[in-house]
Amino acid sequence: MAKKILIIEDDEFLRALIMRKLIKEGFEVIEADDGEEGIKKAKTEKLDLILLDLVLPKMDGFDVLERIKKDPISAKVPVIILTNLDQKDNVKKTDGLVVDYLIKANLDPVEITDRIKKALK
Amino acid sequence: MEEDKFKIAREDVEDLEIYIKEFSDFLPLAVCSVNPVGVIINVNKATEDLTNYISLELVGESVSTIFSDKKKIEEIEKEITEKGSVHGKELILITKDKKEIPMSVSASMRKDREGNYIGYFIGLTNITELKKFQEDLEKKVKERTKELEDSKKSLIKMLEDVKEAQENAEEEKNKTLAIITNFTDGLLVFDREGKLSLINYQAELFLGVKSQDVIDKSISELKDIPAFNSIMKIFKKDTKNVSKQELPLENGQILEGSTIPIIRKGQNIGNLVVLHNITREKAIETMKSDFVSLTAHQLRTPLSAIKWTLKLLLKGDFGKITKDQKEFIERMSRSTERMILLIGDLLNITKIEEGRYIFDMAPTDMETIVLSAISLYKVPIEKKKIEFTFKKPKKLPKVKMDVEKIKLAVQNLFDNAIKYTHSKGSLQVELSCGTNELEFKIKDSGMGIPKSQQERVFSKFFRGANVTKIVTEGTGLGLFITKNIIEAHGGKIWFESEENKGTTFYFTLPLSKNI
Repeated sequence: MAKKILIIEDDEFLRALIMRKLIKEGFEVIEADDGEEGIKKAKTEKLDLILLDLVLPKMDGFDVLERIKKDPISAKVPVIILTNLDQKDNVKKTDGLVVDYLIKANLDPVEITDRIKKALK
Repeated sequence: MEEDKFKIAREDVEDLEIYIKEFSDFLPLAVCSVNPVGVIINVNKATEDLTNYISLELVGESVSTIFSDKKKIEEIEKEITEKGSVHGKELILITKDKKEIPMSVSASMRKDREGNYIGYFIGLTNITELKKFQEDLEKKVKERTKELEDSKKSLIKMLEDVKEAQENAEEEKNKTLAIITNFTDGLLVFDREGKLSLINYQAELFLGVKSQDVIDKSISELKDIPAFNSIMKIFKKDTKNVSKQELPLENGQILEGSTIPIIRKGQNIGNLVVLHNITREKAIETMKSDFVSLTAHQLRTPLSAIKWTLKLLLKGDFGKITKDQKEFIERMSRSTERMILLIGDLLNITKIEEGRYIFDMAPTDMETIVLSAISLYKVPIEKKKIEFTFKKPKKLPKVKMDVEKIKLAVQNLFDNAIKYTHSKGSLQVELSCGTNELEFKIKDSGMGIPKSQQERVFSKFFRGANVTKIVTEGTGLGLFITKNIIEAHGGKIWFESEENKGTTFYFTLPLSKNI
């Protein structure tokens, strides 16, 4: 059965690109374009992985992460952070809660697939 | 008998005459006998000695011939006839040899048996010595008086000067105090013993204290006042030089405190603390970097998507592309890459300016950082046929550093060296170790930095005038960032450069003892 991945990312273009790649790789992908929607979908969908952007409208990625991790339904779903904040001081807050970080500027179709596969193992 | 009697009487008179003559010659007082019309009729020996005239020369002469002032003689004669005598009149005697001698003159009227005025005796006393003494005395008194007057004058003048100086000083003091009181910066003056000797109104406002509660207190006493607590760290620094420090207050205001030693005649007589309110500047600074930071982040996401799309296009994910299309897509890719790098640099600078740039200090092997840079730049080095060497001692101590930042610093230096070196040039990298620091050196045979621009090398957006025409890429931020990274680690960075010969950059990182 295909693994189900949730992408929470407000940039529609980037989201579409990632989805396209992941679908091509055989994943089932659902999307959310703000934090609130992301939390809702994390609760209702049975997920295998979440890709989470940190800068989001309505509710930022740190809050979303906290809520996801507090909810027993979604707490165990591995989260990969998608970020522009390449400085560790910002990302540090998420330490221990996430499995990986992906820097958007270095994003590469091949690399993202590899990292997701690694996280799903 | 009658004849005998007469004879005896005559003999008696002669004796008497002799007696009187002897007596008068014996007298040390010069005495003359003068008749009523002022003619000298007799003088004694003392008179001859005094005047140098002999008796014969004087007798029969007018008494006024031996005195300088005829009028005075007349006055004396008049007084004699009226009062019978005069005493101690001063007259000038003129001797035969024309010497003038001051005299004290006394005279007494002579009368005959019937009481008729028949002339007078005049006695002369030499008062030269007395006169001289008197004159000396007078002169001395005069001199002394003058001296006293002079010193009195100068004393008065001095007093006036002092008064004026005092008034001036008072006015200056008032002026200075007015300036200090009304100064928009807070001012505190600590004396040599570290006691607060002055605090102005603004400083009172900043710290929420009243002057009378804090004045004359020492730094350690002031420490207990909450507001002072926040500015105490300014004193911990070396006070020999001017030191500046940001001091956040509890009420949210931010002050910039400077301590300035007060030096007088080469001696440190205390410290001046200036508190400048930089709350507004800080707020603007934060807004500015927030703006840059947010903008940069927001630019990055779409750029990442563009970059990704271009990669997909090049890979043929969207179908086959022509050679022409490929070339342009590649160019777009490079431009996108550059924009991403520029945004990265801008973000770094924002962080440098916010002062939150260096973290994650860990003991690290410098060699691995250099090796990773070498492998990163292997392709361009080979492409340009640059002769590359890397020298290092066998063993190097680890250095405490923020690995990502030092990597970036090293890469920036590699990047410049390779970019600005012609093909077939040379590039030498060297690591060495001193007692307190580790040194990194990178020497290229590139185009160098023009002498006139060398001062500005580390400033933001600097690019050498000679290189902008040849290598158009480059943000001019690399060395600014590099310098900040090195200095944030407590290291130093410098360079030597000659146009068309090459440039050598050096930096050092301090070795920490407790790794």
